[in-house]
Amino acid sequence: MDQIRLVKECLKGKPQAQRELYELYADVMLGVCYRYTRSMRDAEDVLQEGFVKVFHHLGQYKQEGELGAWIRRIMVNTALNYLKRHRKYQEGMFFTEEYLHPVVEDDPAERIQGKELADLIRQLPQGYQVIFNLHAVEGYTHVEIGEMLGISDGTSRSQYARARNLLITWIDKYSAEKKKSRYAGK
Amino acid sequence: MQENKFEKQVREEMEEFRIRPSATVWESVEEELRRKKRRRVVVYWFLLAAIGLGAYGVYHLLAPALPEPSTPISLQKKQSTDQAASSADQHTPNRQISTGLPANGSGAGNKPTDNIVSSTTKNNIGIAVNSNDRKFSVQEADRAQLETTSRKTGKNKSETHKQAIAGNASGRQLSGKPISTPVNKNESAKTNTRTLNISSPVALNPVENKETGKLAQTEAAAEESQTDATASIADHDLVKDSSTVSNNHQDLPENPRTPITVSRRRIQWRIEAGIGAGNRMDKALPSLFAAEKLMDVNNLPAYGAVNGGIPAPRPLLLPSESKVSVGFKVGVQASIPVGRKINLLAGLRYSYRSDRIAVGGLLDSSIVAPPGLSNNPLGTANRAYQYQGAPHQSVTNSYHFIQLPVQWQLQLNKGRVMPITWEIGVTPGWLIHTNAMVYDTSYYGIYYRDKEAFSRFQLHAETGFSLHLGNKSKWRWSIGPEFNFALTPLIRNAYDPRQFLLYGGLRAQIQIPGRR
Repeated sequence: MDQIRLVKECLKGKPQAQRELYELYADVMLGVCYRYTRSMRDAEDVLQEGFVKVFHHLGQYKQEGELGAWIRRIMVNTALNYLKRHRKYQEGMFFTEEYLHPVVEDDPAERIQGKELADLIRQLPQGYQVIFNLHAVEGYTHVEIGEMLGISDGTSRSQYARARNLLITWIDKYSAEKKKSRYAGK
Repeated sequence: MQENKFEKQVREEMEEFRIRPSATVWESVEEELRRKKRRRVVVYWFLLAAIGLGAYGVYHLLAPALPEPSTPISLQKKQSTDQAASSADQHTPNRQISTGLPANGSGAGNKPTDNIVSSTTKNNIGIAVNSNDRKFSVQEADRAQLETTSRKTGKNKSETHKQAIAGNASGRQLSGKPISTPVNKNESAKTNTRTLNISSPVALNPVENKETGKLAQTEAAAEESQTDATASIADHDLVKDSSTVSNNHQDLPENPRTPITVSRRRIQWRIEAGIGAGNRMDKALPSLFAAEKLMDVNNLPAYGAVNGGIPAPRPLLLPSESKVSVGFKVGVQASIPVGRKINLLAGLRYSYRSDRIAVGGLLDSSIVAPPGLSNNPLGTANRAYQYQGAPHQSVTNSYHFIQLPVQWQLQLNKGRVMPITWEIGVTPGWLIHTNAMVYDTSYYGIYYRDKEAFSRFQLHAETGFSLHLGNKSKWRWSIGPEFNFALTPLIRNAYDPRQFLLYGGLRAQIQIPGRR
């Protein structure tokens, strides 16, 4: 079933079409939610909330752009709302220097897998994590991020730089350990 | 350049990154969708009920009113043919008596009876009379007639009996219990009516109809009336509800008409209107549902540079204070008595509420922020314009409701002249339109319009007192204070916790007088 027809069927409220749409995008969208949250349970909560919004507002999808991109945007916004709503995430949203690390060379020695990279991103402080996801993965500019989060674009820029450095350090460290264990295995 | 390379690598990895969610996620999504569907169904039923109630109200207002308890029965003209037939049944004893009466008259008195018998036969009216029944009823009629005539005329009983037997030789078929026999439904009314037309006048006041000429005239009129069954039925209907059986009431103007008592419980319709003031509160009164706050914006940590180095974010503008603004309502209400001092009130009304807030400057956010930036899942689609910055202008949030108030009304005092009542109840309603602003913490605290954010179904609690005036006049009315507070929040997940509407005002009702 092509996307337009699938959307039309979903708008008619057919459970089978809704299930099909969910199956089509659930895996990718959980990957998005996973990056913004600290636990799989939270990620699934965001996914559930996001899909309810998707089905509820599907009539407003203009069918001009990619359906996946539209759903992704809803997921990102749902995740941000989720972080704001839950106190455990709120504290990390205020940006401090305690996680600052020295700038390192940003050419990771070895590329790591998606799941490993996502896990490293999730280990970033909450404020860094959000800004890194929004800028590096979703592609928002710092001005946009600043307006979304109620911070200045300068803050967003500096936080991103620190998040990036921290992540590269971790990736290097992770890759080195991985390489070491691989040699040890041989 | 290097930055781009790193971001590109990350983006590529993340685009391919997928995790299979557990089965419970879809089950939860499905359950949530079902729940919303159920809620929609409830709303449709609610609207249907509102339309039904409205339609009933309109019907009741436009339809002819029921007669007042003291209305003379002669004005009641609406009865069905079946009812006519059954009511004729009730008057069988009169018929029997009257049938026997011609016996004490001359041959002229018997003539009409013969005519009727013959005309009945001529018209092929299918009255299947059981011969045994007929005999029995003839005997009964004879006996009854015997007693009646002997009482009225004071004649010797045996003499009267003889005359009665003689008279009944031709009149038996009329007294022969036609109602209890299986009768073609369409023709039964005709037959019964015909019977009544003849018999009733004589039966009612045998003494008054002593004049043979009068009797003959009446019976001649009865013959004519055979051709017009409808008219006869109408006349018969006049007789039906009366204890004084009077068919040809024009002939008997002196015959008193007994009023009937309408025991039916009366619904009183009122037009209500009210005016007052309202505001939005933060759970100021007990509420069934709490508005879940997305973030306690009033208790955020102090803003500023933390540990020196990082530029501090701009301070967040907190939600504006909500100020009191005008509200009014207008509608119809039915009052159904359920006890001596207790009434059940139900109605349909339009209600307007408002409150005032201060907001910043208007900004076209669709230009400033590309779609997808807002916290709203639909991006800027619903908030192309937003109010941002220091609050400097006052905006009125208006809410338009269609409500179905259901209340108990209890009379507090004993008097009937100026009763004081206390009303309490719940008012489910539907938010049909609003221009209210929604607060959001993004962009340092903004206001924007988003109708979708509001819960359409709203439940309010209502109480008030009324002083009823003009109870002895045609136009009864009442006036008194009322208070209304929301049990459901306007927005469930709101940054601004003030989501409960509160209203207080003066209400007046005027009772629609029934048609007489």
